[in-house]
Amino acid sequence: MNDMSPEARWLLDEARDGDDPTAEDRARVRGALATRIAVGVAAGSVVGVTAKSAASATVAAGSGVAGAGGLAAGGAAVAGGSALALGTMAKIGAAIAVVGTLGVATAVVVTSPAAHPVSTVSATTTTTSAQSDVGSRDALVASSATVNTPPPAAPVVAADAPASAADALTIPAPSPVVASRRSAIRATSPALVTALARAAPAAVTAPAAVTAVADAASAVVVAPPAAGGLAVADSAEKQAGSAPKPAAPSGDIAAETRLLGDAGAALRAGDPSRSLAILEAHARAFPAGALAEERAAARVFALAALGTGGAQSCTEERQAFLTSHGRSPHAARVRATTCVGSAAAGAKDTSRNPSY
Amino acid sequence: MAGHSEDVPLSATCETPILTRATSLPSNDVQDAVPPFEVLYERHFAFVWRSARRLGVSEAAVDDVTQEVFLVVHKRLAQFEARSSMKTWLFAILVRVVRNHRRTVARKQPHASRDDEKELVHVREDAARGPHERAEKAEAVRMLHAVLDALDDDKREVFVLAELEQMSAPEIADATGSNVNTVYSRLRAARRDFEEALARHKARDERRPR
Repeated sequence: MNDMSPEARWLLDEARDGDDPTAEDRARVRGALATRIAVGVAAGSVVGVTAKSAASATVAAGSGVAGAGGLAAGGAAVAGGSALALGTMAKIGAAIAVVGTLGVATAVVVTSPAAHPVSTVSATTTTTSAQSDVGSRDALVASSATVNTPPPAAPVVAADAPASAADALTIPAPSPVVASRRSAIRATSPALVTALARAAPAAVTAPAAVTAVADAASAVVVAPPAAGGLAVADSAEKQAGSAPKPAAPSGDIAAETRLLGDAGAALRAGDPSRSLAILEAHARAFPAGALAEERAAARVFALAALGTGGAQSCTEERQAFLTSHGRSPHAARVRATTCVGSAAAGAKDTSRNPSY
Repeated sequence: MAGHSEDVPLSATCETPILTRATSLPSNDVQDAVPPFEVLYERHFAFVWRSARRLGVSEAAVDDVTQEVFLVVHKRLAQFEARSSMKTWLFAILVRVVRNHRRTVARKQPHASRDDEKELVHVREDAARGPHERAEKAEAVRMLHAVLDALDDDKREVFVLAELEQMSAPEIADATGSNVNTVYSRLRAARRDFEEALARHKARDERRPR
């Protein structure tokens, strides 16, 4: 009884490593998780993610932002849907923490207006793990508060992510940058590039972080906080596009982020009504904000939490979200949300039948 | 250190290569202080992920389940007692999350369409697929999942830990919240069921070749 048939053995051996996650899986979940931890389970999950997109990004990050844990950095990788992030993951460092936290899904990155000395970025594991160690738990939790904090050092992200050229912003900045040595990386110079996939270029601002999302053309991203201004990218090759200047003040994203963070916190604290109120405030302030989709998802979560009172809206908005953002990174979570009284949770539901 | 006195994989009597050992750090974390969350995540992500798959979580849901597990870990890390190994603790959490997930799934859509899911799998496989060996491996993985699906949850958990993760009986007992004797008897039953299910699966495949 102790042994099994050769066939069973064969199957076990053959399939043994077949369930291992890919680097992309790791990065994606990491980003989503960071978001959820940082912003809150509710709003966080909103921003959560699944860049199951084709994008391939390499993220090289240096020093961290305000000690936030490296976890959030995953966001950056996620954004690009990095296939290689694996080894780099650890190196990504806390750098993008802030950004990664919220930027993840939307590929919107915000950090502080530079003016800060950029310390040398070294993409070594050591650097990062030290950062991570420090940052880990507390920082992760606190990171929504960190969003506006000027990074002590420059986050650097090099991504080779599909992004439409028009959407890619290149904001060169003088600062040491280390890009991970993945062949995918084309840019290693100090520069800030933000490729926004669906978010408008307007969403990007400050010389700072980066994230690339995966929707279109190919852009290379490298971002350090600039020492104030925009310089010219060192290498023409790195210019992913015409580098449109960010239209919105960085405050917008930060403010949007804060609102969503607050909404998430309210929901977590068991106050869906307040969460909704905050989301409504967000809708008024940023009707077409970069995080509008996140807001829509967050509303569903809050309405669901409201119980019977929110049942009707919950069902409608849930369905509306799935209809218009069916491919959103948040779709899975929205889909998994059950509105009171709507056991037949909607036509768009896919079965999550565990049997495979 | 409890649970490590018999740190011999249950399947050590068989000629199973211990592939997972090197990467999964079975007992180190017991002696050490509780590692920071970040480190933990790096170390155990793959374990949680693949175990979720093997416990029957669909490809489409594995992201969520894995996240859920680590959220719980994040919340409870401070309460982790080094009595058990991190890995068994994680698995125990995973089992709870998976059971919850199953209930949710069953409640929500008993027979809903799985098109999205299939599409997802399809896309992923295309992206990852190389030559034949990949296809073959994917086929083996599919078969493994199908056969595992035939096991009861209890047996399945024990089987996965013993045969695929090479855990020892005490570790499994720890992870599943049962005692060692139960683990042995479940494993015995699980192996038997596994063999039967495999035979059935093959017979079906032969009748209706793909």
